[in-house]
Amino acid sequence: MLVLTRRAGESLLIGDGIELTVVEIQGDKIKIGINAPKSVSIVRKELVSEAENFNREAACARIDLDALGVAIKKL
Amino acid sequence: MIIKTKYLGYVEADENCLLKFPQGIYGFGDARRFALLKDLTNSNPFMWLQNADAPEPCFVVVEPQKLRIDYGPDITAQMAEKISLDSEEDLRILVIATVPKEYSLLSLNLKCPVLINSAKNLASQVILEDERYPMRYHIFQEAGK
Repeated sequence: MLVLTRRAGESLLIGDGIELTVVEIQGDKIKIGINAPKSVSIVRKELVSEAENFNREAACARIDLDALGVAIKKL
Repeated sequence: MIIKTKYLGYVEADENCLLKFPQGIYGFGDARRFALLKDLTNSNPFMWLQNADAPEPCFVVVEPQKLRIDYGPDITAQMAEKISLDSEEDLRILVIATVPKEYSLLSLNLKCPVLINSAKNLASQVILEDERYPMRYHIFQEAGK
């Protein structure tokens, strides 16, 4: 992994179209600004893991859809 | 084509009607084609989102509005692009449920909806930045509040 040191207000360029800026540093939190083409998806990594875990859990169950439909009508 | 489903045995489906997920679905990157299957004989709002090429994975999905959930996520240009959405009228949104043995613990993933371009049968699961929508929305508990 490439490791670089940046101060608040400083930026990095990745490829042609992506710019990362350290907007603010406060304690153990860093605010990062990102300029990137619309086609580049940007997402917090832990959210991807959570989404994957949710889907694996959702897919592994044995489900009775009819019973579920009946249960939800009681809402 | 004939789909070998997880719950419904062998099901005949029109290949043109399958939902195509060019990026796969979180945790199941290889599954690229799904069939949306529902029981037409009753008013069950829940449907199966069944992998068209294998029995697994098969998800329970639902349109949040059908459960009277106030749901209106912002669809960014980038999300729209993922499903080549030209008109908002073509957009259909489903969410995936986890269904424990105890139904009262049912949770809906409002954070990661499945966006569908119904005109092109293109679909993508996205992660919303929107803080209003949790990954585990416990509908029975919310209804009891």
